[in-house]
Amino acid sequence: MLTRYDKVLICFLLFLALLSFAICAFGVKFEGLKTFGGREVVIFVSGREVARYPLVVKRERIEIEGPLGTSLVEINGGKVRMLTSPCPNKICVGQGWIEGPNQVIVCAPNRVIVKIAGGRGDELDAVSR
Amino acid sequence: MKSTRKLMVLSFLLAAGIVLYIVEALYLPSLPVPGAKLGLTSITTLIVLVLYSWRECLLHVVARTVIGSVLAGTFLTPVFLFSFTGALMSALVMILVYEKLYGKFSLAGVSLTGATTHNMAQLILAVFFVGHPGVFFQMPFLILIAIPTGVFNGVAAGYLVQRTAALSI
Repeated sequence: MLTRYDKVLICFLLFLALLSFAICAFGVKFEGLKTFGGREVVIFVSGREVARYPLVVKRERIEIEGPLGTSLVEINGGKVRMLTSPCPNKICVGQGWIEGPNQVIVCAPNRVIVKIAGGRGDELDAVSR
Repeated sequence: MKSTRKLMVLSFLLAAGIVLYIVEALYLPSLPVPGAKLGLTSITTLIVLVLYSWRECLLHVVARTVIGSVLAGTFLTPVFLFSFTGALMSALVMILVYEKLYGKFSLAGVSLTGATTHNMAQLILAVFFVGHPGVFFQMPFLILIAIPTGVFNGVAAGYLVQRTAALSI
Protein backbone atom coordinates (compact mmCIF):
# COMPACT_ATOMS: atom_id res chain seq x y z
CA MET A 1 0.00 0.00 0.00
CA LEU A 2 2.70 2.47 1.02
CA THR A 3 5.25 3.28 -1.64
CA ARG A 4 8.92 3.73 -0.96
CA TYR A 5 8.53 7.52 -1.09
CA ASP A 6 5.76 7.33 1.51
CA LYS A 7 8.09 5.53 3.87
CA VAL A 8 10.83 8.07 3.21
CA LEU A 9 8.31 10.82 3.97
CA ILE A 10 7.28 9.13 7.23
CA CYS A 11 10.92 8.76 8.26
CA PHE A 12 11.54 12.40 7.37
CA LEU A 13 8.58 13.50 9.49
CA LEU A 14 9.71 11.35 12.40
CA PHE A 15 13.11 12.96 12.11
CA LEU A 16 11.48 16.40 11.98
CA ALA A 17 9.47 15.61 15.10
CA LEU A 18 12.58 14.46 16.90
CA LEU A 19 14.49 17.53 15.75
CA SER A 20 11.78 19.95 16.84
CA PHE A 21 11.50 18.10 20.13
CA ALA A 22 15.22 18.51 20.66
CA ILE A 23 15.00 22.20 19.76
CA CYS A 24 12.11 22.66 22.17
CA ALA A 25 13.93 20.86 24.96
CA PHE A 26 16.96 23.02 24.25
CA GLY A 27 14.74 26.08 24.28
CA VAL A 28 13.21 25.12 27.61
CA LYS A 29 16.60 24.63 29.13
CA PHE A 30 18.10 27.87 27.95
CA GLU A 31 15.12 30.17 27.54
CA GLY A 32 11.83 29.07 28.98
CA LEU A 33 12.94 28.26 32.48
CA LYS A 34 15.19 31.24 32.77
CA THR A 35 12.99 34.01 31.44
CA PHE A 36 9.83 32.80 33.19
CA GLY A 37 7.70 33.87 30.25
CA GLY A 38 9.02 37.44 30.35
CA ARG A 39 7.34 38.17 33.67
CA GLU A 40 8.29 41.19 35.73
CA VAL A 41 8.16 42.12 39.35
CA VAL A 42 6.53 45.49 39.89
CA ILE A 43 6.70 47.18 43.27
CA PHE A 44 4.30 49.95 44.30
CA VAL A 45 4.46 52.21 47.33
CA SER A 46 1.31 54.19 48.16
CA GLY A 47 -0.05 53.31 44.74
CA ARG A 48 2.95 54.64 42.80
CA GLU A 49 5.29 52.36 40.94
CA VAL A 50 8.74 52.63 42.46
CA ALA A 51 10.63 49.69 40.99
CA ARG A 52 10.39 47.09 38.27
CA TYR A 53 12.62 44.04 37.80
CA PRO A 54 12.50 41.11 35.39
CA LEU A 55 11.70 37.92 37.28
CA VAL A 56 14.91 36.47 35.86
CA VAL A 57 17.20 38.50 38.07
CA LYS A 58 18.47 37.46 41.44
CA ARG A 59 18.20 40.23 44.04
CA GLU A 60 18.43 39.25 47.65
CA ARG A 61 17.76 42.61 49.23
CA ILE A 62 15.69 45.21 47.43
CA GLU A 63 15.09 48.07 49.83
CA ILE A 64 11.69 49.68 49.56
CA GLU A 65 10.97 52.79 51.61
CA GLY A 66 7.43 52.95 52.92
CA PRO A 67 5.76 55.21 55.51
CA LEU A 68 6.73 52.86 58.36
CA GLY A 69 10.28 52.16 57.27
CA THR A 70 12.19 49.85 54.98
CA SER A 71 10.73 46.67 53.52
CA LEU A 72 13.12 44.15 52.00
CA VAL A 73 12.00 42.25 48.91
CA GLU A 74 13.86 39.23 47.60
CA ILE A 75 13.76 37.91 44.01
CA ASN A 76 15.33 34.51 43.55
CA GLY A 77 14.80 31.57 41.20
CA GLY A 78 11.82 33.12 39.45
CA LYS A 79 9.97 33.79 42.69
CA VAL A 80 9.48 36.87 44.88
CA ARG A 81 8.88 37.25 48.59
CA MET A 82 8.80 39.92 51.24
CA LEU A 83 11.90 39.22 53.26
CA THR A 84 11.32 41.61 56.13
CA SER A 85 8.84 44.35 56.79
CA PRO A 86 8.44 46.95 59.51
CA CYS A 87 4.70 46.31 59.74
CA PRO A 88 3.21 44.90 62.97
CA ASN A 89 1.52 41.72 61.74
CA LYS A 90 4.02 40.52 59.12
CA ILE A 91 1.23 39.10 56.98
CA CYS A 92 3.18 40.00 53.85
CA VAL A 93 6.25 38.13 55.11
CA GLY A 94 4.10 35.18 56.12
CA GLN A 95 2.68 34.90 52.62
CA GLY A 96 6.01 33.56 51.41
CA TRP A 97 6.99 33.20 47.77
CA ILE A 98 4.83 34.12 44.81
CA GLU A 99 5.65 33.26 41.20
CA GLY A 100 2.52 33.17 39.01
CA PRO A 101 1.34 35.97 36.77
CA ASN A 102 -0.89 38.51 38.54
CA GLN A 103 -0.09 37.20 42.00
CA VAL A 104 0.44 39.95 44.56
CA ILE A 105 1.88 40.49 48.00
CA VAL A 106 0.22 43.38 49.79
CA CYS A 107 1.60 45.03 52.89
CA ALA A 108 -1.13 47.42 53.91
CA PRO A 109 0.56 49.06 56.93
CA ASN A 110 3.71 49.95 55.00
CA ARG A 111 1.64 50.60 51.83
CA VAL A 112 3.80 48.30 49.71
CA ILE A 113 2.44 46.14 46.88
CA VAL A 114 4.63 43.58 45.13
CA LYS A 115 3.06 42.29 41.97
CA ILE A 116 4.07 39.94 39.16
CA ALA A 117 3.07 41.41 35.84
CA GLY A 118 3.46 40.73 32.16
CA GLY A 119 4.20 37.50 30.45
CA ARG A 120 1.51 35.13 29.49
CA GLY A 121 0.35 32.36 31.74
CA ASP A 122 1.87 29.04 30.90
CA GLU A 123 -1.28 27.32 32.08
CA LEU A 124 -4.09 26.63 29.64
CA ASP A 125 -6.99 29.00 30.13
CA ALA A 126 -9.22 27.18 27.70
CA VAL A 127 -9.14 24.79 24.81
CA SER A 128 -11.31 25.70 21.86
CA ARG A 129 -11.79 23.48 18.87
CA MET B 1 -26.50 14.90 -18.01
CA LYS B 2 -22.86 14.57 -17.21
CA SER B 3 -22.73 17.87 -15.34
CA THR B 4 -25.87 17.04 -13.36
CA ARG B 5 -24.21 13.86 -12.18
CA LYS B 6 -21.06 15.79 -11.29
CA LEU B 7 -23.08 18.37 -9.38
CA MET B 8 -24.86 15.63 -7.49
CA VAL B 9 -21.71 13.74 -6.59
CA LEU B 10 -19.94 16.93 -5.53
CA SER B 11 -22.81 18.01 -3.31
CA PHE B 12 -23.04 14.53 -1.85
CA LEU B 13 -19.35 14.61 -0.97
CA LEU B 14 -19.76 18.14 0.39
CA ALA B 15 -22.58 16.96 2.64
CA ALA B 16 -20.48 14.02 3.82
CA GLY B 17 -17.56 16.37 4.47
CA ILE B 18 -19.75 18.76 6.49
CA VAL B 19 -21.13 15.90 8.58
CA LEU B 20 -17.61 14.67 9.29
CA TYR B 21 -16.56 18.22 10.15
CA ILE B 22 -19.39 18.67 12.64
CA VAL B 23 -19.08 15.20 14.15
CA GLU B 24 -15.40 15.76 14.62
CA ALA B 25 -15.74 19.29 15.99
CA LEU B 26 -18.55 18.56 18.42
CA TYR B 27 -18.68 14.91 19.32
CA LEU B 28 -15.33 13.20 19.04
CA PRO B 29 -13.28 13.32 22.24
CA SER B 30 -10.16 15.40 21.91
CA LEU B 31 -6.81 13.74 21.62
CA PRO B 32 -4.36 14.36 24.45
CA VAL B 33 -2.60 17.14 22.55
CA PRO B 34 -4.63 20.35 22.19
CA GLY B 35 -5.19 21.17 18.56
CA ALA B 36 -4.74 17.61 17.39
CA LYS B 37 -7.61 15.79 15.78
CA LEU B 38 -8.25 12.99 13.37
CA GLY B 39 -8.83 15.19 10.34
CA LEU B 40 -11.50 12.91 8.89
CA THR B 41 -12.67 15.71 6.61
CA SER B 42 -9.49 15.41 4.58
CA ILE B 43 -10.89 12.09 3.31
CA THR B 44 -13.56 13.87 1.29
CA THR B 45 -11.06 16.52 0.19
CA LEU B 46 -8.86 13.77 -1.22
CA ILE B 47 -11.75 12.00 -2.91
CA VAL B 48 -12.84 15.20 -4.67
CA LEU B 49 -9.25 15.84 -5.70
CA VAL B 50 -8.89 12.35 -7.17
CA LEU B 51 -12.29 12.17 -8.87
CA TYR B 52 -12.28 15.71 -10.23
CA SER B 53 -9.57 18.38 -10.19
CA TRP B 54 -7.98 21.06 -8.05
CA ARG B 55 -10.77 23.59 -8.80
CA GLU B 56 -13.48 21.36 -7.38
CA CYS B 57 -11.19 20.47 -4.49
CA LEU B 58 -10.61 24.10 -3.47
CA LEU B 59 -14.31 24.88 -3.83
CA HIS B 60 -15.10 21.84 -1.73
CA VAL B 61 -12.72 22.91 1.05
CA VAL B 62 -13.94 26.50 1.19
CA ALA B 63 -17.61 25.52 1.07
CA ARG B 64 -17.12 22.81 3.68
CA THR B 65 -15.37 24.96 6.24
CA VAL B 66 -17.80 27.86 5.78
CA ILE B 67 -21.01 25.80 5.83
CA GLY B 68 -19.67 23.43 8.46
CA SER B 69 -18.72 26.23 10.84
CA VAL B 70 -22.05 27.98 10.29
CA LEU B 71 -23.79 24.78 11.32
CA ALA B 72 -21.42 24.16 14.22
CA GLY B 73 -21.87 27.76 15.39
CA THR B 74 -18.25 28.82 15.05
CA PHE B 75 -18.45 30.92 11.87
CA LEU B 76 -16.11 33.96 11.94
CA THR B 77 -14.72 33.00 15.33
CA PRO B 78 -11.05 32.15 15.87
CA VAL B 79 -12.00 28.48 15.61
CA PHE B 80 -13.29 29.10 12.09
CA LEU B 81 -10.16 31.04 11.20
CA PHE B 82 -8.01 28.16 12.36
CA SER B 83 -9.91 25.44 10.56
CA PHE B 84 -10.23 27.56 7.39
CA THR B 85 -6.53 28.35 7.21
CA GLY B 86 -5.49 24.82 8.06
CA ALA B 87 -7.87 23.20 5.59
CA LEU B 88 -6.99 25.61 2.79
CA MET B 89 -3.23 25.29 3.24
CA SER B 90 -3.37 21.52 3.50
CA ALA B 91 -5.61 21.34 0.41
CA LEU B 92 -3.17 23.50 -1.55
CA VAL B 93 -0.23 21.31 -0.59
CA MET B 94 -2.15 18.10 -1.27
CA ILE B 95 -3.14 19.44 -4.71
CA LEU B 96 0.49 20.27 -5.51
CA VAL B 97 1.78 16.91 -4.32
CA TYR B 98 -1.01 15.01 -6.06
CA GLU B 99 -0.61 16.80 -9.38
CA LYS B 100 3.18 16.68 -9.49
CA LEU B 101 4.24 13.65 -7.50
CA TYR B 102 1.36 11.16 -7.51
CA GLY B 103 2.75 7.75 -8.40
CA LYS B 104 5.80 8.30 -6.30
CA PHE B 105 3.62 9.04 -3.31
CA SER B 106 0.50 6.98 -2.76
CA LEU B 107 -2.68 8.65 -1.51
CA ALA B 108 -1.43 7.94 2.01
CA GLY B 109 1.65 10.04 1.31
CA VAL B 110 -0.42 12.85 -0.20
CA SER B 111 -2.70 12.82 2.83
CA LEU B 112 0.31 12.78 5.12
CA THR B 113 1.73 15.97 3.60
CA GLY B 114 -1.72 17.52 3.91
CA ALA B 115 -2.07 16.54 7.56
CA THR B 116 1.34 17.91 8.45
CA THR B 117 0.70 21.14 6.55
CA HIS B 118 -2.64 21.51 8.32
CA ASN B 119 -0.95 21.29 11.70
CA MET B 120 1.95 23.56 10.79
CA ALA B 121 -0.33 26.23 9.33
CA GLN B 122 -2.48 26.22 12.44
CA LEU B 123 0.59 26.31 14.64
CA ILE B 124 2.01 29.35 12.84
CA LEU B 125 -1.39 31.03 13.08
CA ALA B 126 -1.47 30.19 16.78
CA VAL B 127 1.88 31.90 17.29
CA PHE B 128 0.42 35.11 15.87
CA PHE B 129 -2.74 34.66 17.88
CA VAL B 130 -1.11 34.00 21.22
CA GLY B 131 1.85 36.26 20.53
CA HIS B 132 4.26 33.89 22.20
CA PRO B 133 6.57 31.47 20.37
CA GLY B 134 6.11 28.93 23.15
CA VAL B 135 3.27 27.51 21.08
CA PHE B 136 5.89 25.79 18.97
CA PHE B 137 6.41 23.38 21.83
CA GLN B 138 3.43 21.52 20.43
CA MET B 139 5.19 20.91 17.13
CA PRO B 140 6.80 17.50 17.79
CA PHE B 141 3.57 16.10 19.21
CA LEU B 142 1.49 17.47 16.36
CA ILE B 143 3.83 15.92 13.81
CA LEU B 144 3.81 12.59 15.62
CA ILE B 145 0.01 12.57 15.63
CA ALA B 146 -0.19 13.70 12.01
CA ILE B 147 1.66 10.57 10.86
CA PRO B 148 -0.89 7.90 11.85
CA THR B 149 -3.94 10.08 11.16
CA GLY B 150 -2.58 11.22 7.79
CA VAL B 151 -1.80 7.68 6.66
CA PHE B 152 -5.17 6.45 7.92
CA ASN B 153 -7.07 9.15 6.04
CA GLY B 154 -5.09 8.53 2.87
CA VAL B 155 -5.70 4.79 2.98
CA ALA B 156 -9.38 5.33 3.71
CA ALA B 157 -9.68 7.75 0.79
CA GLY B 158 -7.89 5.25 -1.43
CA TYR B 159 -10.38 2.50 -0.59
CA LEU B 160 -13.32 4.81 -1.17
CA VAL B 161 -11.96 5.93 -4.54
CA GLN B 162 -11.59 2.27 -5.55
CA ARG B 163 -15.20 1.59 -4.63
CA THR B 164 -16.52 4.66 -6.42
CA ALA B 165 -14.58 3.69 -9.55
CA ALA B 166 -16.85 0.67 -9.78
CA LEU B 167 -19.84 3.01 -9.81
CA SER B 168 -18.36 4.80 -12.85
CA ILE B 169 -18.67 8.29 -11.46
